[in-house]
Amino acid sequence: MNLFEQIAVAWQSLIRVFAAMRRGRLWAPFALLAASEALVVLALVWFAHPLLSWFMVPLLRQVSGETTLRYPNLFRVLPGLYAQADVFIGAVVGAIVVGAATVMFADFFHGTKPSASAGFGEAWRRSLALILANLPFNLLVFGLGHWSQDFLTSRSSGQLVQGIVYFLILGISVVLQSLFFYVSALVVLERRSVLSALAGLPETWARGFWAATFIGGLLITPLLPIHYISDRAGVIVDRGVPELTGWVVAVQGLIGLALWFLLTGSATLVYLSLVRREDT
Amino acid sequence: MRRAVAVGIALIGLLVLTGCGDQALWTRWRAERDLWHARRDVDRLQLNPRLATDRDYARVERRFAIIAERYPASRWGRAGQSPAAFDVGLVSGRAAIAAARIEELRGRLPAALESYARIERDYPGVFPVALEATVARARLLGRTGREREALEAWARVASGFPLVDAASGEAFLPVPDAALRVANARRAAGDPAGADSVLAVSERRIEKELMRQHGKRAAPDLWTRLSDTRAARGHWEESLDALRAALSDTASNRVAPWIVLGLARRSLEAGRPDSALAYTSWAERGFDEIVRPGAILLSARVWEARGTTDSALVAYQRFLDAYSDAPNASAEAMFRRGVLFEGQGRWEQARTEFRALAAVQPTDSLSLEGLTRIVRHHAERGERDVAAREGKRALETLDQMMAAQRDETVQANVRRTRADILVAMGDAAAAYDALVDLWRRYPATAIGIGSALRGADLAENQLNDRNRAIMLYREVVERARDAGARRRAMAALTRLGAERS
Repeated sequence: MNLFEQIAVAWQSLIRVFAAMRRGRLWAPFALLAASEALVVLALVWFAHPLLSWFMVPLLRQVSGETTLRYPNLFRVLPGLYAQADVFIGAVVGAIVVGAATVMFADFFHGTKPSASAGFGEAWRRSLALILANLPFNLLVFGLGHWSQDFLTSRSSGQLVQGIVYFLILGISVVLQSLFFYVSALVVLERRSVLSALAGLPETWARGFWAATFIGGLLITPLLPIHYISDRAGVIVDRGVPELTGWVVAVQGLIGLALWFLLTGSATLVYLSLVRREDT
Repeated sequence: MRRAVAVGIALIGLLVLTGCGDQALWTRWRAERDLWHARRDVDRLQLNPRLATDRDYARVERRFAIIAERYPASRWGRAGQSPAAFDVGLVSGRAAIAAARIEELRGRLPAALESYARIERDYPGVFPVALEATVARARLLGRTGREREALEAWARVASGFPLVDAASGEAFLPVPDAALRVANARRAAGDPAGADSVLAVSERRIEKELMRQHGKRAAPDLWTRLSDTRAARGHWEESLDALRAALSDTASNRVAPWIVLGLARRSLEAGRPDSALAYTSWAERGFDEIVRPGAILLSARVWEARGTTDSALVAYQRFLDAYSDAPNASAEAMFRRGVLFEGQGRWEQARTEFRALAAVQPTDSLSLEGLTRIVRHHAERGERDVAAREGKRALETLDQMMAAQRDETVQANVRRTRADILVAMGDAAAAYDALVDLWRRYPATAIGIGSALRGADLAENQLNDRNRAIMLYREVVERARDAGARRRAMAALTRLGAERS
């Protein structure tokens, strides 16, 4: 299929998955992700409580330094800390959740009733493969984020350079995501091993790369305003209420959750419609 | 059943873990949060203090008092606690001080004095708090005219506190500064030997502390204060030695440019302009941009001190060429150029500088001073018509400024300049009204009190209106917070034979 046909299919897929958001059952895997993210936000915001401080204080001291332990400094770095934690949640819990959701979406789009236990059962059995197959993408995105941060800090770059680097990183992330867009489907729907799934990726690019890029590019836009706000956590702390950054991060998590849903659903549908070969 | 046991064990484990956390750290977090939010309330009041009522201040004061009560001094104000517990004491003490400051702001001075004294007693182990309370108490005692007690409090600051905060490693600067203050007071009271004795004790203390602080965070501040103390004793060479020693201290690397600038300033004070010029040149060229503006301005002042007016003019112009956007400093440079031109008899150029300054930075106090100088220049030369014309023009500018500016400080400065210009124009009646207006508007400020005294003097000597003078002097005696001003007014009333109402 050519570029325009792929985009048309991607758009139709997004519309169908958007409509499927009303189905509570399909949200079941994402509840696990939501719980993990909520626990991280709560652990960060309440790190000083004796229930958490015995492990959170050494962790924060290591990651962000002693000053983070003083009010309201934690809230200045909260979005950054959450983003770091989110990479690890995404790499482990996220990979399994996407696997379970892919199975459920496939059932749903095939017209059968999706089952959370079947989805989780399959994802749990293939959990290691899911985590390892998604690992290169997660490592590349994590490395890219760190590199850009170091690059900007070491050069004390101006606003224009920062803006250019930010959008460049976003663009590269979308491309990377497109390259690994169908890897979970290959693992859980085709039951491929890690190496076989990774080796099968170039084949998916030929059939569905532009669809993946279109969906990735479109779904990243809702994150831009929330990134803009969370990048200004210092201003929120200095001029407003520090605890507000906790709510900003929570909203960011909720939006992220909806995007995980849309990405997984549309990846499954595009995979089933465009990428999957009848002989596989 | 097994599941219930497992859940029970997990719950017990959780409860055990709950006790593993740092309780003091949790308390510190909550205390800092409470203090931060209370301070935000103060910030909100300060956004527009005129709209804030006494009830608003009382509410904020109560918030601070609650923090001090919630984390009581009896529990957190002791010495030898964990760092987090010490920090709780610090927060508690700072909340108590903030509450006392608001009491002071509300005019409840005896209650504020009592609060400061109580804080000093209650937080013996938290030196920063005890020190801040003692300093605040000493200041307030001085403000209320209880100079002997104020001096005792300053003496306690100078000798009763360590020079360095063991917790942060920072120098407690109010301690050596208090010694300077006590010495100044003794010298003013005609006791130079006593003053020198206080300074000598302080100097020895700083020297001893510096033996322990070499290369540490407090060292640069201590060297600088050692230099100040020696300068106050008139030991200029030793004072400069202290600053040179500060430069060689490894802890001073980051502040080296300011120390060099300090050496220039001290050399000027010591009457060594050539050395001062050498240091300003080093500060200007030897470091990055950070001290360059200050170095150029100081070099201009040194040229002025040497009487080399042309070089001073060039230095000020050099500053303006490079830093015309530096608001206060560029105003100073333009104003000084005006004064120097006036001194050289180049009045047209002087007036151009004053007018340019008034156009570029109309609300700056030096700009206002420049306007007054223009009128005064002509009045002093008997050019009454020109003075009246320039005065009228200046008053129009000031009236426009008063209508356009809402900032309270600017309003006060403009009103004072208005009065100054009326005095310079010789319009004593209008000047008297302007000065009384200032006193009525700002009775709690130095501008207001100064205006009342000037107005009374004007009434007595130029308007020959003894009654109006007595009325103003009496108001100063009754209402002014400044003890010195009250004494001056009382002396004037005695001279006028009206000490009793």
